[in-house]
Amino acid sequence: MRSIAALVLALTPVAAQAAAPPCLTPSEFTALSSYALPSIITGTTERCAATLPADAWLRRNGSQLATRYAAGKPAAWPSAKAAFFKIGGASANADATNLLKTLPDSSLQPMVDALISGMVGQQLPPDRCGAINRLVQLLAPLPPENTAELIALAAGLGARSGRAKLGGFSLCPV
Amino acid sequence: MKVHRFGMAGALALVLTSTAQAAPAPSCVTQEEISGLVAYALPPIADRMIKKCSSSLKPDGFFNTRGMQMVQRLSVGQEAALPMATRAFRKMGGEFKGKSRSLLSDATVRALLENELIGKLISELPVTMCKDIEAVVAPLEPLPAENMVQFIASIFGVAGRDGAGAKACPLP
Repeated sequence: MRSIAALVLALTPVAAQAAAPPCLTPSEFTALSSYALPSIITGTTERCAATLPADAWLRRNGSQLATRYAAGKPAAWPSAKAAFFKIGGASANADATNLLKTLPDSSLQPMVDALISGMVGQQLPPDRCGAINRLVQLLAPLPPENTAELIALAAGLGARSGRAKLGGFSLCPV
Repeated sequence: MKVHRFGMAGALALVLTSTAQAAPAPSCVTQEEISGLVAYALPPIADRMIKKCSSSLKPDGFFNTRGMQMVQRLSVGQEAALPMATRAFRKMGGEFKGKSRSLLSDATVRALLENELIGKLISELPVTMCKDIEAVVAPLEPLPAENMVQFIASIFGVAGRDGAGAKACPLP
């Protein structure tokens, strides 16, 4: 299991910093967001469980929201997978990339999901949990595709203004 | 390509920078007050923005087809938000004709909100921003008006904790 995790980590944007970062188109980034949102919600809910009060919206509704948003994952997967490998393609570890490409979706998806949740768990500062809890609660009525579009738009505008940091990849100029 | 902040963020920045120079802000602006300011200012800002942007956007786009419906929905809570909006405005510091804003009458504050915040924002809005603003607002359409107001206010609440001038209070 550790070797699989190492393989996936070798594909992450963090590992791609040495090479010229690939860019994702807005549609690729939206697909990646759509696919990743349920895992991001799950990771955030778990990460913030110790920080937020018991009656916080995320603690009460986070798993339900993740389940609702997960309904859109199958449709987003093909484009998200392509975007994932596009990012990972710039990784120094080409062998890991090629090995992961041989895996069936049923094996690859759980790894990607765990990777995303884990990254949120590691990198989300707990002091942001209150603000995130509020924003997620307010946006919860949106359909998942709208939320993913908003994230992609915010990332695109942020990247254009130089304010957004997207790790080892960038957004292609429109 | 120059990128501008989208509408309401620009509005808040405008208020914070234009009001905070003459006198120090007396205290932080609470989330409730920021929400009141957004709830009061958003309908006229959206209304005038959509009209200003109309000719530069696609006729079948969100603003030109359903934008005014959104304005109507947002307008429902506008008047009720005035007391909080005026409190927020007064807390932002600064002076008007040599008088501290914290001492101005409600009628004067309301006029300043109209002229300094809403009017100035719209007059200074570059039409080149219209497409970006429409792109950001359109996905929010399914939200209840209250959520839209609170969402924008929450972003201000986070963004307004740093920088010069009046600051947003930390979240509880």
